[in-house]
Amino acid sequence: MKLTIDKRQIEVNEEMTILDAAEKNDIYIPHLCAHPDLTSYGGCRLCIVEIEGMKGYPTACTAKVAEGMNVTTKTDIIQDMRREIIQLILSEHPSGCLICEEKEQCAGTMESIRKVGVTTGCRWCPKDGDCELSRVVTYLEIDSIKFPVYFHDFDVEKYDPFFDRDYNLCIYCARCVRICEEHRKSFILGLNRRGKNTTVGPAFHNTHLEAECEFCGACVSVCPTGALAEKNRKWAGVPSSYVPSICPFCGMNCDTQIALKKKKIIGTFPPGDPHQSGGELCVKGRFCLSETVNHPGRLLEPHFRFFEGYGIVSREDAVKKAAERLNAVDGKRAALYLSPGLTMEEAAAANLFASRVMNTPNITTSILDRGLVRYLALAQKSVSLEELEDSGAIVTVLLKGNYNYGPLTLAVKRAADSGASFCEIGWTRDTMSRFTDLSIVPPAAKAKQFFRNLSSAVEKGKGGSGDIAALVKMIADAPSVTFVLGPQIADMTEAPEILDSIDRIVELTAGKVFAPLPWGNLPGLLAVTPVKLVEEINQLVQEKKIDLLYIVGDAPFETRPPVDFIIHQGSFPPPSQLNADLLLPAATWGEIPGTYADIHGSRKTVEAVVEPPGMAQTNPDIFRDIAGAMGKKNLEFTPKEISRELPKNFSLKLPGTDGKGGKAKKVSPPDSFFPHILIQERTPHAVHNVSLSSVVPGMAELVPEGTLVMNPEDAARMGFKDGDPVLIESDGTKKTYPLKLQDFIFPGVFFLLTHARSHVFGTNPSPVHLSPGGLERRNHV
Amino acid sequence: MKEHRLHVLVCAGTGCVACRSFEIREELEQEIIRQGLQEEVNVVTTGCRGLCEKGPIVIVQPDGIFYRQLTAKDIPHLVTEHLLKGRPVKKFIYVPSKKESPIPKMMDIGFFKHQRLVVLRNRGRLDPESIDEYIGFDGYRALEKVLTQMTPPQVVEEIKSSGLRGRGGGGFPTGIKWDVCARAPGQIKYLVCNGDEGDPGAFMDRSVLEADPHAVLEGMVIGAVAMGAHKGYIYVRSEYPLAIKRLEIAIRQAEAYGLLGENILGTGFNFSIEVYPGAGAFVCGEETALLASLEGKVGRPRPRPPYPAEKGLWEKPTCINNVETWANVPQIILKGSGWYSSIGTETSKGTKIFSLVGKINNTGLVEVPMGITLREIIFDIGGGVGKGKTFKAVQTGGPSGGCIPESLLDLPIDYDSLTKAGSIMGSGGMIVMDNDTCMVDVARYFLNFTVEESCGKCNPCRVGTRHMVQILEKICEGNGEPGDLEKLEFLARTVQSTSLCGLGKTAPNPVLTTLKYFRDEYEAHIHDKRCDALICKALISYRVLPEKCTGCQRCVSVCPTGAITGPRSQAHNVDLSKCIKCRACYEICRFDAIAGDAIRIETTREEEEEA
Repeated sequence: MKLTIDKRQIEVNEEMTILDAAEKNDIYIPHLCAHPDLTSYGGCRLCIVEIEGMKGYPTACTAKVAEGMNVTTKTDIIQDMRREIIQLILSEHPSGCLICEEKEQCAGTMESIRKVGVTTGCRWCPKDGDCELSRVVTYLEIDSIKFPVYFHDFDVEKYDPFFDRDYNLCIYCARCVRICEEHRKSFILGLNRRGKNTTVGPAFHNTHLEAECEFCGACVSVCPTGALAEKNRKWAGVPSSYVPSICPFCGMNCDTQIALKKKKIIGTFPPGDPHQSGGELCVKGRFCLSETVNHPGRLLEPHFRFFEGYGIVSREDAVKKAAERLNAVDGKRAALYLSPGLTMEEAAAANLFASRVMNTPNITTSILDRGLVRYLALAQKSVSLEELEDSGAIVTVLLKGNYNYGPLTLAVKRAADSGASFCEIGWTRDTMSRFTDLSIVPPAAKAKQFFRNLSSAVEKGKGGSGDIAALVKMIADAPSVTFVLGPQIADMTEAPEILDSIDRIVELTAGKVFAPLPWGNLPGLLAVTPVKLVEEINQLVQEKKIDLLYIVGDAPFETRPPVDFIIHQGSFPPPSQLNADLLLPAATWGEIPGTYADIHGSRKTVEAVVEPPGMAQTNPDIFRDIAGAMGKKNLEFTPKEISRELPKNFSLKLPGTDGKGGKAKKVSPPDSFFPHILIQERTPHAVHNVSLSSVVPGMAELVPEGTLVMNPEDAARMGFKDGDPVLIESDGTKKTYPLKLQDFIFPGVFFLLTHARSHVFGTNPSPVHLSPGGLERRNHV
Repeated sequence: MKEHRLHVLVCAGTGCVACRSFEIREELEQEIIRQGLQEEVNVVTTGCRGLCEKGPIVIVQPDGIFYRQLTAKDIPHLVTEHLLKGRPVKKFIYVPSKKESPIPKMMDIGFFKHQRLVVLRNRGRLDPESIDEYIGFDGYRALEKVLTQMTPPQVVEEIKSSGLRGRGGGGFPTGIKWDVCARAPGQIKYLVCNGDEGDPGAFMDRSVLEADPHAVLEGMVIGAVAMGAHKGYIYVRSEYPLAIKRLEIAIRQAEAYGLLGENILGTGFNFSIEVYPGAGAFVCGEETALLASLEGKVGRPRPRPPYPAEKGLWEKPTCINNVETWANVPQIILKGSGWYSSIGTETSKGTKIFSLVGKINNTGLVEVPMGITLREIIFDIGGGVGKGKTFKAVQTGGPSGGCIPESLLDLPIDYDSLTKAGSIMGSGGMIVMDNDTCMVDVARYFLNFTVEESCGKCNPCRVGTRHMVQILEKICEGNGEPGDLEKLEFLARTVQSTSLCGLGKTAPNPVLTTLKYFRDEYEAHIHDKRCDALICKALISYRVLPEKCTGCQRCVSVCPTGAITGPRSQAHNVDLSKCIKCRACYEICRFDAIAGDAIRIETTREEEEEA
């Protein structure tokens, strides 16, 4: 298609807007509301142009190109009207930074080393120096505003985690509303009221938390002004560079880019233009990375547990102490726990260390229990997200999608939105739920039976009660079906049986599977290292057959097990009750280069972008030093040596599960004494040994760890209020937890969120009795 | 049907209902029974007659005797004299002005004489809640013709050649819109009737829906046949409860008669209509905002194209027409496009309903052929402005229309001539202003309305109109500066040229037209600090004329701030520092006080000069 823009002949291939065509050909038309990923809006009116043969001034962002069209983007009258419009915008938007008379002088003295006086610049806007509005103002050469100021005088909204909102700076481009709706399909934001009283935000004056926002940050990314600003880097200024990386917080390993300033990570963005890209990251990749890496609680120096308590020791002393202990112990009586978040290189180095230095066969990772091995067997069948999106029907099973797996939940929402039938089986609601055709809350105590019934109903092609029958029909009616599994299944005591039923259903329906993993690099670890079942190693520990534990970034125990010596090597200190003997500070994501692999072995490599803080070293360097101190001279743990350890052919070395790690437990049904069913959830939001909720304050608001969570309806029925202490009693254990009310948990289900590696109350789910904290039942023996 | 000697038609339009016409009907029925006339006289409630100024209105047929401003206690006399003895009661009959003699017959009254009823043909002659009466007056015959004798393309062609243009304000040729929608691909199409009449002082749509709901339904069913739609929505302001009620009755009746719903007239054609009450936003009269509102979203316009005829309700082709447009359709089909296009001007065919309000003698609703002059409407039909006043301007097209001065009174009205004069046809509001009107104040008033009703989506409308009001307020308060008019004018032009939807594009019209035709008034406000219409409070002051004042103290008693003082029987005095210019003293002196006109309002400048 040929057309003329500003007397330039240009050719575009497809139907696009004039604005897109102009941008493609480097013709600048000022605009503020238009966004490449969003449908035309036509709100700011700055991109007005003249089109030959068309009356008035159409907007370039809404008008489509046509053969032979003749467009003029810049005439005196158009520029004058644009100046008028931008002044209208500026009459609502504080503009001291844009058109101050002292602007030039001020810029020259802003970097002054003097403490006070002269001028320090009016730094009241977090987007200062990085603002799209200012670019348009500069282009239109505005140096004064002829209209009086209409300051909105809204209160700055700071009560939600991760980002603040100062709608006094808002220019009503509605990009945030549209990216939330069109791109993220979350529908949290809207334009409320009208005309000069228009406000942006969730309906009914709800906070973002109350509106069940995912905090994906897409709205913050696309905001052209400082109205939406990340709390964490609000005053950090303009990043000096962006470096591509990945997010290590779950198995999706989403692409990110790291914003750097003064050799520090100040934020992470989805790939693409950081001012434009809504991206597919979840809250963790968007907001938690920089907070975790820069956390003040990082382990910065080696510590040794002396008789009187922990003391900082030199690197050499620490290495010497580790070497002495390791030399003194028989390899068979030592165990190595590895984090499922290590890079493949780190895992390979650890494997080298285990086989050549420690001489131990006891390698494990604390998450790898029987349930997970069964889950991984299914996860290996995972299809690509593109295939998932093409399915005629999607069934999610116990998938909690709100703060996890951004690209996965988006693919499900997109598929459901464009016609795929969609069923959610689970105990919680999330932003996918508005797209469901069928929502099933399985009986928590009888999950095993539910899935067995479902599989036999699928086999017979009919039968089952209401929900099951409806699901069987939905699957039968669809041309293809994909089952999206939540790792929560692997956490159930009866996971192997449940997963057997699901596997059977998948087989019967010729369905596809997608099973996400909540750990950064578990497939990479399993491909590099022959890992044993954690139950097996834990049993050895309990039977006192292990003298020394070497923990690399893992968190297998809350309290100290019966061993002689514990070395903990990681970026954060271990739980204090573990009483580890030697703490070695390690580098983490962003500080080390390395490779992450997905379940099928496709790999992503990241570079180190900053130096490890304090005395922290990379894991291979620590291994090298200890090996050296132990006299293993021929081992240097060089990248070359390590890469030799990486497998040529990618395959998961899954341990066998038969007859290992003790007898399988059974979930007993609720009875009159333990009438409630408690689902225990070990937080999936963790990096190495530390839970995000414990290091990122915002995450603690979203995922309140160490709390009992229930629906407000249940709480009202049982006479509990938000924040009340609640005593949970099971057969054998009682413990008090604070109560948190969350709307998105279905009534009748009780969740206990913990970061503990083992469940607090026997089985999962566990029949319990809930009562107001402090009051125990007397008649219980 | 039973034959009656006389039919008494009681107007039950909203205006007359507000003047207790239901009470009158009850009293009439009672009185007729009391006098034993129930076998001879039939009482019918009808839709609005248009002359709401004189409500409640009762007409006695077949003679067509027109009674106005009746009260319940007039009824016994009326029944005895006219219905029993056959002598029209002179004192209830319409009198144009004190000098003229009463005019007993409706069709001799100037207000009615010059009208040409097409859309409103059934107004006041049938009971809008009875489908039988509608059918009795050729109702649903056009639909029958369309279903049995015409093909859909023929129907579209008929509408096209009739020259009918959208009566909602835009004036887009209806036939072309139908054609686009009929040709749009896809099985699902929607028809929408836009009854979100938001202009202050306009009540054409309400009146049509209240007086003749079946005409709108029939028009829509014909449209459905022509365009292949099976679902229609009527979007009515929820402030029109009577219209909604009558529409719902009409839909139920039409469905019961097989004229709507499944298998219409046994032809296998299905079309159902749903009434959707709007939530009261002016901007929802804009078609894309209306569709968003129908979809359950906030009523905000979106850019066009794509036009609703291609992508409308739920992304499906949608034909959206105004109430009056739909109501025209059955007549065009029945009497032919040739008949219809013979009425009106070269570019605008047919008739148009105007709601005539403001400083005019006969307030009400009129239907006139296109091409009639403003002078004919205002003076021949409307009876001119009040006694002792002179005509100053007329604003057409609602709050976003322009003000047309006296010099253009002989302008033949159609879409294009009004646009040329800087105004719009709009939905047909017509607000008449006399010499007591300050044009700066008028512009400020109307713009304030659009500021409040702006949806806030686009900058020129949301912020620009606000700044325009601010400049106008500044001028009205006597703080206008040289250069303000240029600033105002360029801002108005920018808002007009760059706004997203019709609301913003037309919002500056009152400003631009008053600047064009009444610039001297603006200049008097700015340079001389004078408001000659004596409206802008900052520019006027009150004075007691001592030679006229009898000292009756009526003004002293109404003054809310105690600004007027003075002993009885002596000339009073106004303390200007206390006066809040509320006009109470002036009004009481003019109408009630013994002296009369002893209080004068004058522009500040005059007073200064005298001092």
